Amino acid sequence: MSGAISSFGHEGRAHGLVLWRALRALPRSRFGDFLDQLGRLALSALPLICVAALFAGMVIALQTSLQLTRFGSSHLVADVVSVSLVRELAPVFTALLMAGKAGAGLASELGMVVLSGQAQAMRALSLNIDRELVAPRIAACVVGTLLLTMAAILTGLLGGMVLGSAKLGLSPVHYMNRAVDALAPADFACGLIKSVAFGLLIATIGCREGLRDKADAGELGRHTMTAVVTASFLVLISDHVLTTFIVAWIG
Amino acid sequence: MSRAAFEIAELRWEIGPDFRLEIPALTIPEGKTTVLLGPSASGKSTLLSLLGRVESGYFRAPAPAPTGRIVYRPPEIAPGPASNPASGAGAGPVDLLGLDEARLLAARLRGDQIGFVFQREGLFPDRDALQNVIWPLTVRGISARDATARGHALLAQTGLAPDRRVATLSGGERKRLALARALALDPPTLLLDEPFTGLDPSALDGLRELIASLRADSRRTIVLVTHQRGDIERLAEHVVLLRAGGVEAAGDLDAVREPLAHYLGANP
Repeated sequence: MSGAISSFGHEGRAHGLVLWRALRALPRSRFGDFLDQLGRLALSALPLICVAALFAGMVIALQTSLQLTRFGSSHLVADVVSVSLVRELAPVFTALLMAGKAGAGLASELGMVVLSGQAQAMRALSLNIDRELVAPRIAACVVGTLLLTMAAILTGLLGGMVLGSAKLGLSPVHYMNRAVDALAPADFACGLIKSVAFGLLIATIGCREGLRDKADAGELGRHTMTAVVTASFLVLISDHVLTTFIVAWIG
Repeated sequence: MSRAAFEIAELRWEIGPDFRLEIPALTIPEGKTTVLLGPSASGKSTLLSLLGRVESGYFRAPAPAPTGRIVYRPPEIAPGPASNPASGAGAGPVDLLGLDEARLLAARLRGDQIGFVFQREGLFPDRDALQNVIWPLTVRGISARDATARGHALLAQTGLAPDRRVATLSGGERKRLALARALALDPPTLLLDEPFTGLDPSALDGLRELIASLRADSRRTIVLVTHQRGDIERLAEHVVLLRAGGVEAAGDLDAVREPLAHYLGANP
């Protein structure tokens, strides 16, 4: 038990160190590096996230309509779908997809930098790894997760509207009006705060696993898998914690 | 008696239960080529990595940190006609082990004053040959024009085309590119970890000639790890013979002729 606590503490410190060093290096890192990473980590995931969110929006609308019809409240489908998408579903499934794509990408890319001796060569040239590699990636992952969550919200709402129109006979304009009217600023704040936190979590875990010392390609694979599994797991756990705090704070 | 580039005192580093580097006193002379020799697991590369302060990973290793002192003395006059003004020529001595990673980065000793060529070159694969060489220059604020001119000159010296991708380079070309990159900032001290390992005879000759040409500058200090008799005969002016983490013999070639002959006899 004490071993597990000690290991947990060690990992916590290591993740904190990665984040702290990246935040310190961020003001000195180049904007071009950030944009480059934003394209690689986030923009490349845009089609994937949009298609997934479109279908998720349709499924949620279908399932919600089945339940609401039993209570004679099918006119509330747009309200329920939009609030659940913005507050919960879009941030969480965007984060889970980013954990798989960006988390694995960060862990394997930085892992190769360590494994191939590039990290050691950078130290030998006094090139700051935090400034050159880590800070732009963490910033890009956080901003990318936020932007992709917004895209997921929009396409999710669109998916709900398509389903509502095709299956429930609702007018698209009526559906969208109800969906937008149902949303309060607090709903957006809840979803977007969570997406920033998830992005930070995924980036920090991906970078920590990538920067671990490793002896061979087998370890690189294990560290990449650990990054994805840990980030996905912690996204789900922290979702509950964050939701509890955000609800208590802004409603 | 030449000036010391590195002065090691009471150095001790325990790496796991099986290996300990322990050097009570050792001097690496300035302006000479020092060869680190010894059987496998004698501590050659470990010592070299400590001289270049590239021994640790991103996270602090679980093993205890090395103790003792490794004092680096920048040369009074930096080598080469195109000397880097930031090469620290004339600066005071500095205890390398007394600097943590943040201070090492701030001091920019590595790269500017101490160049390092690794056994696994650690080239940047997403950049071409020229970009590999000029990255450390542009990061230091040297204009792209000056950095590119310097990069072209170094690649011409090492016989490489600037637009070659790292993935297309042969073993010998990779070593030469790593050497060109280490020379980008014109450091007065060069640390070379087994630069001749795994090269075919023609690549070997080319790299030997290149390193021999660097030795022509009497103010440049070179420390290299090698196992090959030919390199010792051709390049070594000073020899450090290591065994099981300690120094068995050290001195100018003539002073260590007997233990060297014994070592080479046992390891031809």
